[in-house]
Amino acid sequence: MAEQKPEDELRIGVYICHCGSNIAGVIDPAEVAEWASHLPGVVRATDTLYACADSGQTLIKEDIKKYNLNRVVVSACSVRMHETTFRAAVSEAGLNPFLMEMANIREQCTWAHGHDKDGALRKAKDLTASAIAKARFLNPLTMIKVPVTKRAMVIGGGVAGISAALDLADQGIETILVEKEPTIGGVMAQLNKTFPTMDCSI
Amino acid sequence: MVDAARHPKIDVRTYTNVERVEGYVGNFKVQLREKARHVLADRCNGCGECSKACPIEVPNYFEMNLAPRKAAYVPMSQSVPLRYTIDEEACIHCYKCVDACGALEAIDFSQEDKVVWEDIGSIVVATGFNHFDPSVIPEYGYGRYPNVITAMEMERLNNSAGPTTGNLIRPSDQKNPQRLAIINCVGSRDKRFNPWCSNFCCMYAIKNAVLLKQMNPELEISIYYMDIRTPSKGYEEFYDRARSMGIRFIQGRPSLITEDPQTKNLFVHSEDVVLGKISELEYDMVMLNQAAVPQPDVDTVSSVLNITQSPGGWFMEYHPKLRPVDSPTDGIFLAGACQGLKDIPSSVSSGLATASRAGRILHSDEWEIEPIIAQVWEDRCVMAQGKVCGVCSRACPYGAIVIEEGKAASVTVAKCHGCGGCVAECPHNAITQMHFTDAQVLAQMRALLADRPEEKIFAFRCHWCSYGGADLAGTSHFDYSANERGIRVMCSARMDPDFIYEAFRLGAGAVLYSGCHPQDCHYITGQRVGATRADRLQKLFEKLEMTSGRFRIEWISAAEGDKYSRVINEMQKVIDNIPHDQLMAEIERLRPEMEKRARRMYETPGVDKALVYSDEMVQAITAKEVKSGA
Amino acid sequence: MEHEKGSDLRDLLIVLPGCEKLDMCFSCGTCVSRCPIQQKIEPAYNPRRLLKMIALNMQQESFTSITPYLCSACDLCYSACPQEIHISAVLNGVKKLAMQAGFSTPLKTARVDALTCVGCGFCEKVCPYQAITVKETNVPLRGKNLLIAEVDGAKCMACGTCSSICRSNSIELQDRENSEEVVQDLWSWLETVEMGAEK
Repeated sequence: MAEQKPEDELRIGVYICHCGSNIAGVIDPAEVAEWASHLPGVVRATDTLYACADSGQTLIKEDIKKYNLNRVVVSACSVRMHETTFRAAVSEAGLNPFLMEMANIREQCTWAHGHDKDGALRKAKDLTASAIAKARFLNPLTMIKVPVTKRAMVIGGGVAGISAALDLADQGIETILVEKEPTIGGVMAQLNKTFPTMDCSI
Repeated sequence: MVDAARHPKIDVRTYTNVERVEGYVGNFKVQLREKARHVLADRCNGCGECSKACPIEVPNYFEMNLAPRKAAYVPMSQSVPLRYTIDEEACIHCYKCVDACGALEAIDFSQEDKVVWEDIGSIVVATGFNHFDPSVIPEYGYGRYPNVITAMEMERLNNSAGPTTGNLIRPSDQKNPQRLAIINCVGSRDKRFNPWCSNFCCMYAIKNAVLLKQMNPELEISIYYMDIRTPSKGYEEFYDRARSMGIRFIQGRPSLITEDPQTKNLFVHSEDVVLGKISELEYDMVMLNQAAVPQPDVDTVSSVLNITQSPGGWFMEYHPKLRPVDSPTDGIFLAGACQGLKDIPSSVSSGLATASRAGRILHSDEWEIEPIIAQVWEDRCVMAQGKVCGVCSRACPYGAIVIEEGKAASVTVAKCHGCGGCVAECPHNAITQMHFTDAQVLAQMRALLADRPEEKIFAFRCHWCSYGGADLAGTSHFDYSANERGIRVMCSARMDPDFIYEAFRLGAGAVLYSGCHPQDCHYITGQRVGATRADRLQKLFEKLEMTSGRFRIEWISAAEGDKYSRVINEMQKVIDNIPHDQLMAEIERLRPEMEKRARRMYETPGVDKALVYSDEMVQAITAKEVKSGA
Repeated sequence: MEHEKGSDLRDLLIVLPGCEKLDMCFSCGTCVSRCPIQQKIEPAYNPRRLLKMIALNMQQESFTSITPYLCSACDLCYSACPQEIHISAVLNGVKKLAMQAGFSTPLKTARVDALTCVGCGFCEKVCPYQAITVKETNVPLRGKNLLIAEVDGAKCMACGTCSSICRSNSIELQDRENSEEVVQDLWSWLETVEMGAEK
């Protein structure tokens, strides 16, 4: 395991996204930011209208330099949505991308608790605190590079599979087209004419 | 079709099944079974003499069983490749085909299935869809009334290459029908069978009506529909054309078809909802526009490729709008109807899109994967001290952990997918997972349970499924209790028993242990590792007389937002139903036991620091709560 | 119309057992054509239209519609409905609400003649709709209290089964004076049918 460095001073930046009214319509991001600013290790906490927009990303990048941040927490949407965006943003500012942590206060908070604003606020604070706590123990990591076998396989010889195989092959990629029946063609080969142009299916 | 077979870069393998897929993006190993055709591909010239000589006839699936084929056959004359196949199940081994083939010597009955392994960088899944069998709807009489046929049967009956060379006849008396009814949504948009809209059937009904009307303008055609859906370019115009040709559109879903036993004519009973009157019209022939359904072997394909399914049995995409052709597994892409029903233009589009997505990987010399893998602390591994263990290796679905006597276990980086199963299973806390270390998870848990933990529902969710399910609950605005506090790990296999003990030790009101359904697991058998452990925990908590429902195990897919919301709300009810002092007493009663069991985790490297830090965090949070509450 | 949250016809209905899927109707008409007998008798009978009226909160029109009163709950439509709506339960719900609101059934329901009823309970046993209960009155008779059958107008479907079983001719449909007349009617109807068949 990459040894944790003898602790440099912990300098966490926290960004609470409004996401327009998606988050700010239910809770006050500024209140969460103010609250988070008192947590251990947090040197910068602010709200931002759209963290994923150019302005939001620029703010984070500038802050990393200005406040000498070594961890970044973004309280915004799902990691399935924007984790790559913010990883790229912090790495452009010279921080290891794995030193960024997200808290999901949109899908899993304001969108799910729109009718319980107090509950949503308490949860948004807790989720942010939890991300800050994880950020404290994040380690810089590097992506693992793996070689690529330059061959493709398409499973299913219907119209979609044939299209995929032809395009891959035209890109110069050796492609295996696998079909369980004795002929390719799939359902489309069984059809008479096809709509709306009434051309032949084969 | 022919282009694909001729392309020098395409290797067409028909009559072949995919049996196993191993490896990861850029480095898949795929096991194929080429079924024995008993015909040598390089010798067969497609002349068809074997088929002519063959005495056996069986129904031809390609003609929807409306016409026979021989045991030595091609499904259709334009088959690609044009190589004959001998159907092992139908063949009586008379060897007349061998004689007919003569000097070509293309037939070889000694041929056996061939199993081959292929190295592949990226996989496109395009397994398509299947047709719904309308005989399960008794009121339409398919299978009982000869003149009720399916859409695919109609397709072969009016096809110039079909069994009747395009002459549409009634199965009962081989006469040309004068009055035809087409019934839409047979088995689709029907909660008794398939709730979905099958996407292309409206256009398909119109296409057949137009084709038949062109061939025979005298033919009266009525289309029974609930809604006509023609949302693509040129489709509405096509619908207009059908109307102007005199094709009759009747809004109303037929409830019954009856047959005149003498004439074999059919009566379609429906309400014309525009008129508000019931109608019973007589037809010579009825075509059922049957639903499209997933392939029958969809579960096998799912488990071979480790790709998950949406409700109904369509393969799940990474993101429905932003990454519609990516599967959740890096390097595997989804084309065509297997991901969700598509008409031909959309199927082609998605096929072409997958080629572009796969091309990104295949044109790169190397590909980056996330380093969230397992690592062994060699000084903690008891194998290094000469003891017998190997628990980690048994938990690994990928065989990525090497065990040698007298040596610490070691992880093969390229094989590890980062489920974290070994980490949670290791009885000596000698393995950690990058980016999901015990210290990190512990710090998160403490922060989440700092304030009034007894009110909280603590949820462990796997990244691929139940975290996605929670996302979908939010996206769909299925409200659930705001007392839920969640932690994401990659797989339920990573949900260490120590975490659960710690959550209860900290005083959590309820704990949810959730992951994918067994067949959907992103890490082959990761869920099973997690599930076995969860069952063990459940039994333990029963023995400790914990109120039932405070610990709950649920498998929730990324498509089950409603289920996630329901489960959390039910757990909230469990907490609400326990009187507060009774709950607190139970938490206090169990705390020493939980502490005893969780203690070993505190020795894990890094956790000591997490404990100190999280104490500060808890102080800050609770102090702040008090201040803001005042 | 007064409009409070929860007071819409749909809101009142959806909480009743069997009415949960009320909103799912997409007006395909399967129920109407699956129930051809009722519509042949009475062309105004149309469950699909009633469901639409409920969705549009047409309370007055729903309560005065003939549809909820004619349904015999055979549930052929339920098994055919692609949206799995328990239509007879919805219709029954509308009928109940209409009764509560003071509407009365347009059907010629059964009526008991209290003077001749002996409280034997045959009618209670045969009623397919559980519309009849034998109740104790406070009139003493041979050391006990007199028993008399009572018809629940909301449940009675005017089928006449009770009337045909009654030994004392004490229960009759409201448009019938006595059983002889019904039999007479039946005979004359049968004659017309036979004549029709001969043609």
